[in-house]
Amino acid sequence: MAKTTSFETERVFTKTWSNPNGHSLAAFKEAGGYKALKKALEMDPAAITDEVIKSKLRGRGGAGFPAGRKWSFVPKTDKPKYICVNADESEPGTFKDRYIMERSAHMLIEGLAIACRAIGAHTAYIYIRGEFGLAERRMQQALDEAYADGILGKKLMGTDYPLDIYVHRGAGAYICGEETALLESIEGKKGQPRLKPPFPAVEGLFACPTIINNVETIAAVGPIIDKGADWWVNLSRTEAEGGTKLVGVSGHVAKPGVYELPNGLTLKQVIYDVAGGMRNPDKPLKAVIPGGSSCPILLPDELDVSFDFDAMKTVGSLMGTGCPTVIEEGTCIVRLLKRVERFYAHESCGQCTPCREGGDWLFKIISRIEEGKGTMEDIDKIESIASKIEGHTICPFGEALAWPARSYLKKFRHEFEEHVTLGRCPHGPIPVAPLALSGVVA
Amino acid sequence: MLDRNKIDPATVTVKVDGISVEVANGTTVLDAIKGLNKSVPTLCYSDRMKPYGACRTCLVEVEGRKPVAACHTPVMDGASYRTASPFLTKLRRNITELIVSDHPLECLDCSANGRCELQSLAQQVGLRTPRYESPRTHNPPKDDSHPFVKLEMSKCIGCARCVRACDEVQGSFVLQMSGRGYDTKVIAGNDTGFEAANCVSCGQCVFECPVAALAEPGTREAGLPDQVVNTTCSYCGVGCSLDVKTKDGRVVNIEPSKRGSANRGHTCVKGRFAHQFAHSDDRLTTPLIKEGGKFREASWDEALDLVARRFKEIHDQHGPDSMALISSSRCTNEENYLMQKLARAVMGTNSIDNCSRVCHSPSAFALGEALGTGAGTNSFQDVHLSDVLMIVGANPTEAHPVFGARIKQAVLAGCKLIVLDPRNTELARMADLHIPLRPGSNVAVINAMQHVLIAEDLLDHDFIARCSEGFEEVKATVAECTPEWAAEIAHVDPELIRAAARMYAAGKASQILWGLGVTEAGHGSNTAFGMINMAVMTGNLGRPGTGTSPIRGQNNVQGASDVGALPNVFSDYRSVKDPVARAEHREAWGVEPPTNTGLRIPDMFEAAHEGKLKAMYILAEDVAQSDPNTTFVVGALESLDFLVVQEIFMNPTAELADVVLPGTTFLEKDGTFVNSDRRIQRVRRAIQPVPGTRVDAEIVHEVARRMGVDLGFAAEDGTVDASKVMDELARLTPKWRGVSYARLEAHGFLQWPCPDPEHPGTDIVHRGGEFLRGKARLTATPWQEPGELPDDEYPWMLTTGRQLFHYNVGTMTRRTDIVKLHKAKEETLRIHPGDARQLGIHTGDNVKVQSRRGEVTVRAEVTRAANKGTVFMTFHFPESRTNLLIGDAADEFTGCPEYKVCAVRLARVGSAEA
Ligand SMILES: Cc1cc2nc3c(=O)[nH]c(=O)nc-3n(C[C@H](O)[C@H](O)[C@H](O)COP(=O)(O)O)c2cc1C
Ligand code: SF4
Ligand code: SF4
Ligand code: SF4
Ligand code: SF4
Ligand code: FES
Repeated sequence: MAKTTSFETERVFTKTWSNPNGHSLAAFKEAGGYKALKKALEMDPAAITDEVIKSKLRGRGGAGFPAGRKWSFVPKTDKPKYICVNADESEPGTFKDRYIMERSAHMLIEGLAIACRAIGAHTAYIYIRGEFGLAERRMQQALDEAYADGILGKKLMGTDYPLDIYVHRGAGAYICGEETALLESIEGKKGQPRLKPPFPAVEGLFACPTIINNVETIAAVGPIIDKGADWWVNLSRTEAEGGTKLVGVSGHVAKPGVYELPNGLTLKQVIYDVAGGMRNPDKPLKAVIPGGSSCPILLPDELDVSFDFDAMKTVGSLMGTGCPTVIEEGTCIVRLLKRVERFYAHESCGQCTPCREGGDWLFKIISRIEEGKGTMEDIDKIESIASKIEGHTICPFGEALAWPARSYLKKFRHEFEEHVTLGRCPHGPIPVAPLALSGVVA
Repeated sequence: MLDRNKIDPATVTVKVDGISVEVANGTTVLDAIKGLNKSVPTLCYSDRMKPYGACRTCLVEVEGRKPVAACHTPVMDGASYRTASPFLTKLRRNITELIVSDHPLECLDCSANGRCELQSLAQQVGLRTPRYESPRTHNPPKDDSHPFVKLEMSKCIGCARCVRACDEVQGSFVLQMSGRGYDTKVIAGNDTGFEAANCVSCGQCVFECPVAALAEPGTREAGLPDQVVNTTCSYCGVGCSLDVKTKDGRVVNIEPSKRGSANRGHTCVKGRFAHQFAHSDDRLTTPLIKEGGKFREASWDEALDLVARRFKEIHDQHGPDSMALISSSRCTNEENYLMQKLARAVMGTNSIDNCSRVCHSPSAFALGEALGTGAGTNSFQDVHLSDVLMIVGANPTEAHPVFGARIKQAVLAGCKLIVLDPRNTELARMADLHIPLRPGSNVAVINAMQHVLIAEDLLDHDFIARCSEGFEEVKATVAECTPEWAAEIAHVDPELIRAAARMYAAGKASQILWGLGVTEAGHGSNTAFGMINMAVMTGNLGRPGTGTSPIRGQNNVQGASDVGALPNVFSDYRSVKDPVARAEHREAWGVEPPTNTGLRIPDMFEAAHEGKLKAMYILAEDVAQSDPNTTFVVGALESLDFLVVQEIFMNPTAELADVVLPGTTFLEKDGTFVNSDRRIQRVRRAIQPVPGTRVDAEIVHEVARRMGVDLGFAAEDGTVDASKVMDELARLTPKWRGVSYARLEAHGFLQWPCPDPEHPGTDIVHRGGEFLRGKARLTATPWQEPGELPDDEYPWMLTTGRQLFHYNVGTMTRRTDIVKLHKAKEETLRIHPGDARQLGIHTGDNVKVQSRRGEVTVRAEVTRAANKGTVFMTFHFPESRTNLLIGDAADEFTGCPEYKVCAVRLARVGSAEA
């Protein structure tokens, strides 16, 4: 459950989360749910898109592309159109979409129905990460309720507009979160990214115009249509984007968890004022990965910056999914990088050379260094490989491989060199994790 | 195939290395680069398939932006690209290094040594030793289970060219990239091997592999070939262009030619791998003369003198019509031309025929009568332009695999498909509508489809009025032929017939293709007439993607007929009675050609039995085995006074000969073939004739010379200049007058009609509804029962056909490694599971198949590829003697036999274990 903070804001995503039955249709309706859909069905479809453009809603899957503008790329053709909700949430350090599905499934359905109406789609898919059992059950439950209640189906809320929404479960590949790999996966093929162009808005699912949006992006659409773009813009404290944001803070902070915050707080505020600062007073902050494990790492003196898509670029990193991972002193950066690259090397789809071969070499070389068997040339090879991957691959996964390596090396090169000169990890062997499992933190 | 249909016609201007070019919008950067005769390295790209973007060696710089992969990125208006720079060389070197880091460095021991694309790329970018010490983590076991495709995954560079070749060119979907990331590898099926995944052994995956992860056995031992000769495949009527690679006078391997107009760099298992027969130990290598019922070896002089002497004696004693020649659709146009010249100008008889009699004479007849030219109207490439294809009695994915693959790609790309066939062929399973009609009922169903077209007014009235004649007569004939009536005869749902007629009529460009299931199924000419009627009535002729075309069986069955190896016509199907043609031939040959129509092949056997025919000269046709009613044929040949057979292997026909002359294979000779879509292509000598044999044209020429006539094409040493033969042939053939070897060298191929040396050849005949015969003739085709019908005694229908892995009676294919393929091992009787259950038959059981003429025993194969009530056998396996069963009913116009319709009874005679 979201924690209350001194940065109290109007609750949008977390409105019903304090109610144990908040995920039910009844609770959602009681909180004003499906009013927005009714309103949208009386609007001109183009006006829906315009309202979303005005709201400055940006994609919350990582890239921050303005949602309304994406919708406006859908060509006017007779072909069927589709929306796919990206609920694959697999980027290490990211946890927010699953809570929306577990606790506000109807919010996602309402936003999706409005979005479908805006672009003229009659079929939509929610692509849920395979490991998300509860999220999938809740989502399906909510869809069943919506069908039974006459909201979805041949007559969307009693109008002549048919709409079907299907849940599609992933099978455990991170790459299926990349939007075109996701499409391949829904089509029943091996999930690997497509060449672009053509872009999905023009030629996506089953070669028809398709919009892919993140869960949080779509969930925000209902409230925006309900209360208007101006209201949404006013919730935010930055020009970069409107509304509130679900921020999942993890790592060595005192109070990790998912928080609903107004956009535009600084990263420092998020870590110290919202998440309670460092968990161990003896171990000060060492670094922050701001928005999922692929983002370039930041040093403590780089955090006094608005946590939004535009400002984060000024410090050479990214907002990403808006879920910072906080790292305390005493953490081995080389070991951290090894762990990150093991993930990416393992998750590469294997289509293109730089990522397929380069990813594995990065992992092997970094492992070697971490084990104290590396050489100074090995350190240079990391940069050499990573710089050949970045910008040269089929999909942005290449960057996810290269950015951590390049940024950790740039900011902590001395730690790599220390491993080589010492011939071992200065932090000693990898500690065995305590077995006690903590429950869901929120 | 690249999908370039969606290109916006507008052009954009870009700069490549500072040079401005205007290209079509949507062009890839790579194509723009190639257009300037420049290049960038590529590994995963192949112009036969869609770009894949995997290797990233084709990256180019873009001013003010990130580098892009040239192979798949469309040009951007105003952009400036750089194909080479120190930065790019370093980038490409580093990427190549990453590929090589996971590749065994055993170049000297590798079958790709010297032709490996990775090796040359490494040289090009200056990569020496990779910086990554390679503890070769990938070393999976080799898969040697396939006789033609060796899999060695440690060498794989993950470019997926093999997978895409199998999907996008062959259409068999056997291979896939399995696993993820560094562990990506190629698997066949579910990693269950090629055979289980229905690999058709086309070899396309091997052809595309840039390294030796997929390799052809034998190429490593031979090293690089010392000669590459381009020629045309001698198996089927697709006419694939082949590059024959030889070393030290022997064939090393054969690859598809990338420039081949009919095959576009594709082949099937036969053209690609079934070539060892040329070097087979049991080739005939010396003339044989039969004495006292036994063959003895003879010199060429002795044998040829004997042949000439006996032919002359019989000619003088019994007259010219006591002699007959069977020419060969396996041989070149030039050889066929010489055979008919020998018959007409030397022996003075028109009794010359070729095996198109047993395949497509009804097609040529109907097309000639109705439209004015005895060949298909459109070209192979038209299937990509059709939106409805109707395929009748043809199984192209087995019998014409390369064309079949193109049909599949067209259907996968959205073309509608109607299939009329008693069997559940691969295309039938892909079809939008499959009419599983009973063998012999073609005319009924085609008539009913015409009935629907007329009854529901799905006609192109303007086209009918402007371009055709005979509509009222057809209308009257099919008035009673309702779908319900046809459904009774064909045992199908009448609604299927209606739906098919509607679908055909609804196409903007509908095309009909047919095969032996039409021509060998009784009343084949009438079926062909009916299909032509459908095309005329709906205006589906003379435009891209439309037309009516037979898919012709053997490599040169079209050409053998085109050049006049037929009893009633000279070349170009000009009647032997046509005064103009006669005058031209008289002048060219210096003799008066005979006027009476000669004997057709079935008549020849008839005449032999009657004692009227005394001598025959058979060129490369195993009639004793491949003709229907084998007993009758053998009896006919035995009753001759003198039989000459020219062959490459001893076979049942040659066994009956008085003199056997050892001829040569297509690999050993020069000439031309005409494929199924009227494409004249060169055959070129790749290896010298095997010692003791002679080129067939020379032999024919020599027989004529020894009979006292110089046909006029031989040099001092007796070698025949094929190009001179073509020159005379072209002069005497109005539709070929523009054909010469010089033009064929320059263009690669010419499609007739090609009436003058400036003419580019004709891809689509009758353009704009201007028919070669003036107006198209609509022909009434009243329904007649097939000659053969099931009854209580013979309750099952047997139909015959081809199988992918063999060709005709298997003379050639069975002398190659093809027999190592499980599916190619023995003949089976294919029977539907329901029927099998009724008879208590299981796969592997021995079944006695008995017709009104004979009986054979074969093993059963229970399969849904057969339909209920109809069983299927091929004729590739001489020992199973399928033809013993077949009757002598024939097409009323052309005498084409009813191979496809035979009533039989079935009995299990032994179990699977026996
Ligand atoms: C390797 C990779 C993995 C991704 N995984 C996810 C994911 O799990 N969830 C998600 O919403 N977006 C993910 N994305 C981003 C999507 O490709 C896409 O940009 C996003 O779903 C668009 O939605 P939005 O505009 O609403 O953010 C991923 C991208 C890449 C390159
Ligand atoms: S960058 Fe990696 S994940 Fe993306 S297409 Fe290439 S191999 Fe696949
Ligand atoms: S031989 Fe042909 S069918 Fe077999 S796997 Fe290779 S490409 Fe596919
Ligand atoms: S087997 Fe050959 S063609 Fe296939 S992916 Fe590997 S290297 Fe490429
Ligand atoms: S047999 Fe036919 S399809 Fe096969 S390679 Fe020869 S011409 Fe081509
Ligand atoms: S050739 Fe362009 S990526 Fe391989």
